[in-house]
Amino acid sequence: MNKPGTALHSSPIPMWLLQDSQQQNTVPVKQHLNTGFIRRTLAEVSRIIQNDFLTEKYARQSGLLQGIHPAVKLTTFMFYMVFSSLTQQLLTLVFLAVIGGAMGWLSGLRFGSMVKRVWLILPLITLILSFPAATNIFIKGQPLIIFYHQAGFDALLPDFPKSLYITSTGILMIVKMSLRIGVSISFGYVLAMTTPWTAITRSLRIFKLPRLAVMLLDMTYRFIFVLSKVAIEMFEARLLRTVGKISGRENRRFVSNGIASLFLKANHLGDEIFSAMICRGYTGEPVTSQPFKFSKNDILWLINHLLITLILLAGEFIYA
Amino acid sequence: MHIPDGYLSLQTSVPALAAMTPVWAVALNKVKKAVNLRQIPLLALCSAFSFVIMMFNIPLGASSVHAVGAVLIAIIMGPWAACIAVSVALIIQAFLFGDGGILAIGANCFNMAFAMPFTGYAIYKLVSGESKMLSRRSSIGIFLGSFTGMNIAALLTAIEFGIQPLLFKAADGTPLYGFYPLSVSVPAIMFEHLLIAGPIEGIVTLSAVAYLVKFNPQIFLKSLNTSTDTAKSVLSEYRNFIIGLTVLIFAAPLGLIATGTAWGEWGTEEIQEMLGYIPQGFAKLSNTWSAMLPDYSVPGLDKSFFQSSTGYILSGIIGVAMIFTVMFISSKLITKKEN
Repeated sequence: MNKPGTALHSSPIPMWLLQDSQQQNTVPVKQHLNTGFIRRTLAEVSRIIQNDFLTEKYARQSGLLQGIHPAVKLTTFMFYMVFSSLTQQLLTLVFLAVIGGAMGWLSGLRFGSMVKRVWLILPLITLILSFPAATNIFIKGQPLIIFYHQAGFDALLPDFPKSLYITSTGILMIVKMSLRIGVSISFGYVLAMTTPWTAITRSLRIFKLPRLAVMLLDMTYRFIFVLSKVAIEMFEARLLRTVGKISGRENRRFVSNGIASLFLKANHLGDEIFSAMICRGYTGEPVTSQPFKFSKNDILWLINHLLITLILLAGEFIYA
Repeated sequence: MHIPDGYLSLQTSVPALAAMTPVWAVALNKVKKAVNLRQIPLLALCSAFSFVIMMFNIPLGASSVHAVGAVLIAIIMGPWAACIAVSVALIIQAFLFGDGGILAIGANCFNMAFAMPFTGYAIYKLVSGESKMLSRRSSIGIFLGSFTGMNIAALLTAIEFGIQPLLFKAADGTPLYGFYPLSVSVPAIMFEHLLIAGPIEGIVTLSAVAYLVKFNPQIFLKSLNTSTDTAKSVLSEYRNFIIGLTVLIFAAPLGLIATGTAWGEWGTEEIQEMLGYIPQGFAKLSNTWSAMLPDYSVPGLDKSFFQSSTGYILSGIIGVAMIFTVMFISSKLITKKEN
């Protein structure tokens, strides 16, 4: 009558039946069932598919970036990324962040989700992780916030730093680093959201990337969805069938077996796809469709960014 | 372990990309030359496989870690195929998901798609020799291979972070990119990888191989092993290539130590020094700008902090307004044409 772990109860009704059902729900799932890793995996794998849906949605809208040749877009973005990597001006980095944001906004991306995806993850983490670097131990400079100064630790700890303070240069440097990361991610995000992957890969042909590589990038992208679906089904099945506590060892074995069986499925699919390709006349030489044509929009776009580059360079030289 | 853009200076990520280019060329060539055409879809599937398993969380206590799986693919398909598969996965991750920077693709591929599968595979081959799959000897080889592969990749990442404050700093010694020197970055990253991520990668690789041997042993026979290369033959076949690569890798950042000022920090004096003269346009531009905004001041010069920061903020606002106007007008023109 008594379940293990429940207290003895005089009533003939089992303890668990007397408990409030809401109370039962509040029992932390992770602690009892140890399914956190399954949920995290499911969330991450579903993000792949979610991402593709978003791209499909945004790429069809009419907006600034949707009308630009993918190769021109790619070149411009790479240029700005390199610019952000080379500049040491806070101002330029702010400008570049604004350019990325404005591009997204003018292309009809949702501003809130863009800020969330671009700025609230990696740049923020970097800012927090780099915080110790802003002290005088790593970056010298004017004290901004002093933790202690000229403290006498000599007797106890001769190597301990005598002063510890956050330097203004340190703060400036870590802010610049976070900005630089955010700028790069924002251009990547804007590109990924407004350009289907096949358009990006086709435009890579213009940059003389070998056909085989382009074909590989294209095919891989498609297969990612096939394998993601298999993986999601695998982990969902496990999640729904998980009862009671399972040891970490057993769970790790589940993941390794999952990896291996996913490989077997991929291998099998590889054979079938190859046969299908042979049936459709594949001879070993990949054929890619014609790249896009350049239009007047692209020229307008280039003039626009030439002007912006001049503004950026002007800023660089004023404060050089 | 995916390095985002901004953590590395361009002077690190570009040489890494340069180092990866010949590796990719050789790997693609190897695949192309192999008679077996079925390798192309299989290779794409392997890349997709590599992509998807990097999302798998491996439980560890209440938390979880990620696997890379590069050595697993190397053991099944050979190191060249693993190199391509992991590279393709990393490139797609960088472009579409922002996992790892786009400029840092070279560095990330170098660590995880080159160093990791090749060292892992070499150690696996050296330890297991000709022994049967999953014999005690080969099991140890698989574990050690994936453990070392993971740790080599982590060590390279730590070194790439750690050399940033050494190599790239302003004239006054302020580090420009990464801030933590080797003495901080190496222990911080290696501690976690030696104790946690490395052993887990080893265990997962070993049990995945065990599963494959149990359920589909022929996979190790018909696989993509373009070469039945042992670690030794890889070394001898590409000896010159590897030597050249090593020299390139070590020489590239060294050459940059001497360059002094970072790009973009050139004042007019430095340009004069470099070019021997100040381009007329620059001088004019700089004069015009100072004339247009006479209250501007350079932070750190004799004006008060308040004045100079106001100037900075003001120029920020002006710049943003200008950029936005230009973008808005061109956007209107471009989208109008569309409709």
